[in-house]
Amino acid sequence: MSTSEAVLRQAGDTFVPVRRRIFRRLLKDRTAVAGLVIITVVVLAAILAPWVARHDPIQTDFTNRFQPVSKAHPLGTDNLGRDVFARIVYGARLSLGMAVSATVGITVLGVVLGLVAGMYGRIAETAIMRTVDVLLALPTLILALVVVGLLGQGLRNLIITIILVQWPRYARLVRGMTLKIREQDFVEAARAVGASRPRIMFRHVAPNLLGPTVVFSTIDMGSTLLSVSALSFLGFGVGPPTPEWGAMLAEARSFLDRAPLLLAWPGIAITLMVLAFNLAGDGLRDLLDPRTVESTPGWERRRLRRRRIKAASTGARAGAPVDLGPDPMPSVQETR
Amino acid sequence: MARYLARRLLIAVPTLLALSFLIFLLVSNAPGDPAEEYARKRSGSQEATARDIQAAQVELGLDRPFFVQYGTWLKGMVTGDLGESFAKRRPVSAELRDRLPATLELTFASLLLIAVVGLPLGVLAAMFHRHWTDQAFRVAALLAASIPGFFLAYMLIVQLATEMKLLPVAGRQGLSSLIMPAIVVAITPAAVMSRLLRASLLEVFTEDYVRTAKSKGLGSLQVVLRHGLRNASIPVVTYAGTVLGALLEGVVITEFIFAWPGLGLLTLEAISQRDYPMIQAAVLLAGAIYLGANLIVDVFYGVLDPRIRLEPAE
Repeated sequence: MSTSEAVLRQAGDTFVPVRRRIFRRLLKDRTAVAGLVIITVVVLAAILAPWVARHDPIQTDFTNRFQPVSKAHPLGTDNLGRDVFARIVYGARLSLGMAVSATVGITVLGVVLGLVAGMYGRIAETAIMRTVDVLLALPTLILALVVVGLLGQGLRNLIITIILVQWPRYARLVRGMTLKIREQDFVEAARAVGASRPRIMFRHVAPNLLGPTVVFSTIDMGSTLLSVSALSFLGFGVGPPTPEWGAMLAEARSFLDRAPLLLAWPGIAITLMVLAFNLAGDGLRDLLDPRTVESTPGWERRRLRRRRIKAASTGARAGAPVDLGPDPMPSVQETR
Repeated sequence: MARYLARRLLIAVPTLLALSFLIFLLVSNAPGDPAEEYARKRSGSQEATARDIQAAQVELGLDRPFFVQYGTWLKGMVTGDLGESFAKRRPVSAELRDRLPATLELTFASLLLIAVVGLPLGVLAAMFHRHWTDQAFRVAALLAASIPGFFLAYMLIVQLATEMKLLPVAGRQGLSSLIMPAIVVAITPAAVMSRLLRASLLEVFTEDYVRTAKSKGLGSLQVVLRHGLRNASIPVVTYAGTVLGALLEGVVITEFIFAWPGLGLLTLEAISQRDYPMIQAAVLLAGAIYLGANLIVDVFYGVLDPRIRLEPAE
């Protein structure tokens, strides 16, 4: 165990990165394994898309419109005769790619601003944290719509929008952890030998909160995918003919009477991926619970976790800095 | 209580003020010229002449310095004058008032559904703890939370409206048109609520008074109803509060799919039409509703659990 882990454990933080045997323990949680398997399969299919799908996702074929499910076209063809299976597989690249890049952006922005707020205090902290308060007082979808509506449609703008809307929760989390870590002895020691504030921030504090933050963003991935799909569905993502799940679903609306399956395939794809992320995230969260004992059965671990969450949510009202919120479930405004 | 409320309302003022500034800043710096938009909408033509644009600028006060514009707008907000919608050519406040009933209707129906489905499922899951049904409930809840609303909505439309012709496809005509939107809105919150209640009940089951109740011979359902529910209600109420806020702000995608004329659809229309006064008012209203819903939840804590005191001890 490294020093940083010992420190975090002592601090009783919400997430204690115990790298040892984590993976093996995760494999004991059957539902989490199911989630991991789905994620792996879909990611592999997306990477190997040209080999997985036999057809071109953009190539139209007007003689073969609205084909039913067949051997040549595993999920049939769409209104322009394109192979739906190929479009789903290639669409995974864009949908997952957007969700992952948005998550990376959110994490980076949240960590940097949260660190600065926690380390520098004073004006920086007030400015950042009040902005967080204001942004959190708005429904994310409406805020996202305003931002994306003003920026304009497009892949890059959609990702920027989601980053701008989602970073406040991460900044709040990171600031909370920063406040705890910077009171630790090793930070004091670094300060005593004359380390500058940026050095302390990046060399001593940041590495200690990176693990928990990455875990948090992994758990959050499902709801980010939902946000991406929702905005894309509303027409703020990529334009045709590029395959993307949310956009495919929107396109299939016009043929709802004739071919409801066209709408079902991308819908199932999104649901399955979000479910997979939620299952894996649920398991991951259980694992990293500091009160989890290796031999504790699943139901008991979950009960312990729920108790901790309740403590955290009531504690947050008293000003406790770290509150990860309830289950890794999307909140109502994100997709409705 | 009155003092507590007064203090909370005072705290909300700076947040709302900052929010209004942020919104105004965002919309003012948006690409596209509101004056041109306004001139075009008024003349009804595609192109607006330079003179029209200039006239519109003067009329809308866009030629004045930024802070003067913001001050004028803020004064209007405080005194209840929300400006005039570019697209609809009528006061924003009248437009909001027209859309409010639909949103209230959908909010009420959804909350009812959430409570009717979510709470009993939560109680069942807690009572079947350690049984395989509990695990089934967990996966079902995760699945319900993973379905995108826009996917579920169309599946319902295909099944219930197109195939079976039981319900109208969209629009707002009577109770039957309310069913599908309410289901789409309610499914995720109902799932989350059942999980929260289950967890909270399991927590309460470990308390001494529950053991006492059991040992005096109460049946397990009696124990849950008499001793469990109220004590387990805090996390549920917290969540219900955020849901209430979110629903009142308008559920954009659901209202869009079902052509439900509520606040969410109004916001979406305003954004796509670049109706700046409408966007500003709608977003500010959403922020105010969020803060209001939070306040209601906090007041409710004190009612549910007398141990929680809202005012600091003297």
